[in-house]
Amino acid sequence: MSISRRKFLGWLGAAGAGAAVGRPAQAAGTARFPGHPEAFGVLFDVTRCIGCRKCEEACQKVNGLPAPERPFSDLTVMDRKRRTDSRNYTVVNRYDHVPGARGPLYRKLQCNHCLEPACASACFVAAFHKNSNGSVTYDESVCVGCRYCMIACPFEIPTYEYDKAFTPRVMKCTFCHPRLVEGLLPGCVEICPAEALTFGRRRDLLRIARERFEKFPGRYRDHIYGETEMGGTAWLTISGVPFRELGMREDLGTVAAPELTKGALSVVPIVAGLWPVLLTGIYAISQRRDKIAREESSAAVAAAVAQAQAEAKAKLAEAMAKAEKEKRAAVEKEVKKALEDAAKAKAQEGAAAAAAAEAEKKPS
Amino acid sequence: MPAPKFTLQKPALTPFNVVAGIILAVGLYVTVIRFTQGLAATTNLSDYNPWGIWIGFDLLVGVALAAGGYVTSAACYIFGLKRFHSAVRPAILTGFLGYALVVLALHYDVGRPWRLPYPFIVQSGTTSLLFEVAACVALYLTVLFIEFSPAALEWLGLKRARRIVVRLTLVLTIFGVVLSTLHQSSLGALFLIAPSKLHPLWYSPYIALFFFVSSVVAGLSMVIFESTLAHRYFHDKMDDEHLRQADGVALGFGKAAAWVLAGYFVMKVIGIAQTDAWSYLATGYGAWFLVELLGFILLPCYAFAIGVRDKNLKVIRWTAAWSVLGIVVNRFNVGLIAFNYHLPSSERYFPHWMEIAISLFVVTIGVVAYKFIVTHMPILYSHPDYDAH
Amino acid sequence: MDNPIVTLHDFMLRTESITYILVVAVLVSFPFFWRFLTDRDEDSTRPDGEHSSGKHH
Repeated sequence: MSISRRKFLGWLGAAGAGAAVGRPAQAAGTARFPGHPEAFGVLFDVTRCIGCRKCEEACQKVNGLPAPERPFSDLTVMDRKRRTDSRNYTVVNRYDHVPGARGPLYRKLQCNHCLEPACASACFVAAFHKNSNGSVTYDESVCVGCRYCMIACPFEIPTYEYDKAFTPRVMKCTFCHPRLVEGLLPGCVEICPAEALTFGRRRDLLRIARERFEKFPGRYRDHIYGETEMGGTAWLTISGVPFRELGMREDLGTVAAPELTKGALSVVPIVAGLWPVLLTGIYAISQRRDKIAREESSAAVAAAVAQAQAEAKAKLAEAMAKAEKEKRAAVEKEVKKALEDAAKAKAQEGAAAAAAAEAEKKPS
Repeated sequence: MPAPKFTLQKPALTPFNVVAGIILAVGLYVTVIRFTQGLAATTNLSDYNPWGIWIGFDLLVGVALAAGGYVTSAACYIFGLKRFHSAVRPAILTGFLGYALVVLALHYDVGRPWRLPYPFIVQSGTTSLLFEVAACVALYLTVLFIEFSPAALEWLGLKRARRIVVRLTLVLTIFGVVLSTLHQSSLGALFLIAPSKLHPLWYSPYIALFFFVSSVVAGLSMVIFESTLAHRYFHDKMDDEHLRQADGVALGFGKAAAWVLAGYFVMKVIGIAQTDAWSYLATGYGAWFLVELLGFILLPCYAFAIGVRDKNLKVIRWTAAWSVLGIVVNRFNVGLIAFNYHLPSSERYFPHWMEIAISLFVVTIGVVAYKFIVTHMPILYSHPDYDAH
Repeated sequence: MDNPIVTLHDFMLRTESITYILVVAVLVSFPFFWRFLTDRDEDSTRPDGEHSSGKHH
């Protein structure tokens, strides 16, 4: 044999690994999922935004959304805090008197296009999809309208067309997915006059953000919002003030949405697999217990009946024996009496005969 | 058969009929608006508050309070506690009606109700806990329908069909417990995906377990509670077996409820320890949490125990109603009150009157259907032509 | 691999879908196996048979 031991073991290992896992890189439960490697993102730089609302206008135009009641040039709409709604995929809010800021700050809201979207994880018809270009898109043709995506989204982005009776849809930013496919920039990025929005590969954007931190010391806080929040997002934000001052939650944690539900979902096969075994077992035990109880009680009944019968028989036998005895005694008594009577009669007869003979002898 | 106390053939102007009639009329009116003008016209739902009382009450509370079916049939058929046999049919009936009404209410809540079967026939989002809830509720409603059907088949005199169904009792019971375990817990697990929105005192990695264990409490308490009401209004419908077993059912279920509530209480406390949420107890939400924990879990537990020790059925019956209320409080807390706790009060949700009208409408349909069924079908008595199974 | 799984979500969509199919298969086959296991028993610890006999009262 010319096959070396080492070679043989090598083959064995290869065969074993190949047979055990069809998709070696993905199938392992503990595998880390790197995300789409070429995915795009956008870096939003709060320090550059001038609050012109041009992005809102471009968004409305490229997505064919209904025109607003007040024109986009009217900046007073920013006097109150707004959120995304079914007519606005993106809104810009103004933050006055933020400590550490010289003037008002502006923050743009839109879908952050999570790497592991909570909306997609929550959707029970899988209407949301994380595309390889980084966008998270929604397929209205399957949507039931349960609105669980809106419950799940930590950024409170998806909105609903509550006013439509027959064809309500979830509405949210698509990252201009149709435009990305055509090789165009998202509407908001394209129009931004202040270069507050930078489009690029997400991994490049993270590098660009850090370069800005280094290039402009003191201008930024050392935190890229979206790098790790909820497992990371395609849209990233950098700012000179704490994000909470801009209405952004800093307590979301770094755990991706699917991780939060993984445990609960893994209970399903355990319950479905083991509950019937356990419950049928309990049923069989309780049936067996009942059967033994039934058998024991019927055995006890049988024994009692047998005992009663035996007792009755004995009593009967006794009674019969007694009766027999009495009968025999009576017969014997009668026989004795008859014999006695007979003897008496015989004696009397004898005596009478003797007397007669005596009387005959006397006259001669 | 004793003469029925209420019949639909005799539409007298009893207070019940008047109130039920008004609620049903208003409900029908709101139904028309809901399905012609949409959710915005009938609800206070918003982009911040996508789920209102049609989920918080009709779904979360409805499913929990319909747990009596699986709890009672498991006790009787799996654990072999035959002394609870007379309680099975009423519990199955209320369970079936409860789930049917949950599904009815969902038709109002979701945007496109005609698509409700889509998760199973078009595209399945199996990563969603709502998929599990939907699948289990759909299957369990079917199971409950089959479990309930012998009563209807006896009423209709279909002996052969009844015999086939009765043979399936054990399989259906085990299926029912499996499905109930899964979806009762998953209703809680729905909120696992939103740690940033549910208050830390209620958000717990154990929330699925809390929902499951409290559903057992809800099931046990509801059986006692319903039986109390049934004794009051349908006493003449009950046969000797039912009347003979009724007190034993209340005592046995009260004892079980006290014991399960004790376990539930312990787990809730350990839940605080696990998430280290102690400091929140000193806040306003903490006070409300303590009201739920002490006032609606610990005290009913103790009251049930007193009722059982003293064989005091009155205490047990009142405690059952109290404990049912506790389940309502818990589901409202998770679904509505402690959810979105971070939002300013101007963005918080309060139901529109039409939402309340529909919830009342759905409950009223349930009560009317229950009344019709117990006056016509062998629920509170065994049909004389059939062996009790 | 032409379409590798790179997100946890897609991985879970795949694993959970397969799991649900398995779960349905398990739930359907259990009663039949229990029957196979017990149908030669003299007593009737079987899911069927027992209840129709009326002994359960």
